[in-house]
Amino acid sequence: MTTEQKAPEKKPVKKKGPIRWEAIIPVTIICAGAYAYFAWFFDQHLKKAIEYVGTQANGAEVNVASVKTSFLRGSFDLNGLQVTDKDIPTHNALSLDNVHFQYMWDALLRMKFVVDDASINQIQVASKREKPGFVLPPEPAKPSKLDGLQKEVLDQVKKEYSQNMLGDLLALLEGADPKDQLEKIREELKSEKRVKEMIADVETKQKVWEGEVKRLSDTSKLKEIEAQVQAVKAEKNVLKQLAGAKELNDLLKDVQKQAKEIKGAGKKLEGEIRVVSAYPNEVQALVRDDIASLKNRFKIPELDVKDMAMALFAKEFGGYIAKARKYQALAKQYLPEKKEREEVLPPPREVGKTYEFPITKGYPLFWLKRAAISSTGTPGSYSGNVSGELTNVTTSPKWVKKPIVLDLKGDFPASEMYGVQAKVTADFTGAVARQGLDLKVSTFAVPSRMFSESEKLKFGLKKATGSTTLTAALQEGTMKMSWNAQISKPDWLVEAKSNLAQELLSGIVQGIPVIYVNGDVSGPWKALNMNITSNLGDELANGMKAQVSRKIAEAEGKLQALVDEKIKGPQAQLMGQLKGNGDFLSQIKNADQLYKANEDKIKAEIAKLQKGGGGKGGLEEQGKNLLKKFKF
Amino acid sequence: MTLLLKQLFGFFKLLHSETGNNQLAWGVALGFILGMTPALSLQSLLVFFCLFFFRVQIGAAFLAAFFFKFIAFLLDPAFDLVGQWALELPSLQGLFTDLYNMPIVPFTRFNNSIVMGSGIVAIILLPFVLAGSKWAIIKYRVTVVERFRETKLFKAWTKTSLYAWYYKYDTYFGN
Repeated sequence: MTTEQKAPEKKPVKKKGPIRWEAIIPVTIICAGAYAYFAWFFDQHLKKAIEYVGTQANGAEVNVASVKTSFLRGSFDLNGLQVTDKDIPTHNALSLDNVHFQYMWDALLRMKFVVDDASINQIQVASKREKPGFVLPPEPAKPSKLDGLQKEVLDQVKKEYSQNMLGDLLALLEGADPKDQLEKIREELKSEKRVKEMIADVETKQKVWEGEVKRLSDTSKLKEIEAQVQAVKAEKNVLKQLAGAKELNDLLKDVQKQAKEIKGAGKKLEGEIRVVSAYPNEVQALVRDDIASLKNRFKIPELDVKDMAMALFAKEFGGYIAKARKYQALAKQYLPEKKEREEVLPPPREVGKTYEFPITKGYPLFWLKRAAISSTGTPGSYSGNVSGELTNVTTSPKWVKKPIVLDLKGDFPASEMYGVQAKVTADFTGAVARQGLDLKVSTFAVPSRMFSESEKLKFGLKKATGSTTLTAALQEGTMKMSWNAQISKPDWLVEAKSNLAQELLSGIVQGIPVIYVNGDVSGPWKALNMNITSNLGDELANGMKAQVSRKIAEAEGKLQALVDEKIKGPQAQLMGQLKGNGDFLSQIKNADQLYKANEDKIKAEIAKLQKGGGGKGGLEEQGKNLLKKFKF
Repeated sequence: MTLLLKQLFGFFKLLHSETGNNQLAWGVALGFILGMTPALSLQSLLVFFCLFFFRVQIGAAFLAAFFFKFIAFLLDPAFDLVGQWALELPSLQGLFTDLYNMPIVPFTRFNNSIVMGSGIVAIILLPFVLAGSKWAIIKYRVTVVERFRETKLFKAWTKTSLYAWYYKYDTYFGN
């Protein structure tokens, strides 16, 4: 490095001002680029984003015809939304012609999103697509929380109804034919068995008593006594007379013993006759028991009118309650109930604490003031002529002080549903949140509704015209719902295998021009108390009751006849035998009297002999005379 | 990235030149505000606007923002306390309520305690940071740069062909 470097001459430095003019152009270009993006590309990208997110969420293709946003106007327009039905890809689950949101600039400048005017036009359900929509491959099934909540309600309702109660009852009536049952139990009648036992008992007793009575009524002994008394009486010899008196005393003892035996036997016989005499009453009681037990065998149910209405309509009402539960849970997810005073949790240090000052002339964070809903029915879809509005959807209902209200009115000609009025209210303005639903349908075509669909019985409505009102209110986890329906011009379907059921049901339904159904349910979701009444239930239950009563009477008559047939003969035999027992008693009584008479006679003779009776004074007298002769 | 690197090189170059004290000082001061502000807010955008439209040294601003961000993170509890004190002042409740309900102002997130606290601290300290950074730059140039220029090593370096080439390049193409 020997050569000294020559420094080139410096360019004179131009004094620059405080503004960075050279940055203006790049910034302008960036701004112009941003403007161009939002003007020409943003809407396209937003449309693609909505389609992609919608498709992933729905599980089937979601199409959007166009999206138009305007930053300056604060507007958002979505046109031609089609949501493919993933079960029927040729149809849309939902389609909307246009959704328009108009944000307020005044609110946007306050970091708030207030939609002053919105509209949702031409809502269609199940409309046909131009070409089938793409369906995403199904994901592995996961237990749905909403399904679980609905199941909880339906499980409670299921306890209240039987799928085929009507069929079961008729089958029961069919099966309760007394003839069959009587044949089965013919050998099992308690009364018949007992009567046989009674007869055997009486026969045994009769044999015993025949012998006994014969023995006790034997008069040979009495004749012997008579002869002995006469012999003692005719004896002249004093000594022999004394010996005869002694013999008479012995005889008296025998007679007394015999009389005592006869008396005892008489009492025993009387006791046995008393027992045996109760046999007829016992037989009657057993006959009654047998009839009662046979009735039980028929298992004829006690029909409750309330149960019948519940069995017929609980499933339908339960479906409404389950839907209410589902939508309430969804509403709770998106519109969480706000507490009166927000709990202030200490935030993380780096996040700080955000203070909320009173809103005096501002807006809540989000407020959809009013969205108009309209739709015109088109052929081939389930869309209807609907008009209505959704008002006051907000994040600060306590500040807005107005409940969220969805008010819809319309007709659905494709579904033959007219005069639909629905008002859904969600009120979070007070300390306690309240949600309500008022639904009224003036006329609708009742689809085929089967109350019983068994092999033996097909019973239901082929078609009818109905009107219904449904009101529901939910407050603090307790729901109250009432349902009133009127079904007129019913076209019944009655197909029963048995003539009995055919006649019975045809007869009943002919007298029901209008079906009224009134249901109500109240209580917490986990313990609902449901009640349903219906004139159809009343009529069916009353008809069934009459039929059951007739069956019971018929069964009773047949049972009585059966019992009579089986019991009558043996019972008569028993009664005849019992009469025979009465004869034994009179024979015993006669023998007793006879012995008593002989006893008295012997006693009198002994007394006579002791007083010197007999032929020549008493023994004492004769004895004294004899002593005189020996000069004592 | 190129722009940022260019700005950073520019910062060091300017630091070693004889001019641009104010540009550098304002860059550090605005970087201080950026660093103190916890998140993107309206005032941050305002600072960015100033950085781009006024001839302020952007590299200095970013470097300062990066440096002060760490300090601010440590000072967050203090900012939180200052912010709470200010936002709970009864005499200012009316003003804050009005501001809260005004258009555009809520974008500043003034109702957040840390934003408010760091904002107050940044505004109070801004003149001191500006003055302090200007003084420090001048001092740096007088003491460090001049002394370095007098060293044999630097003198030897200025005699190299590489330096000559760089010098020529900077004369024609540098700003």
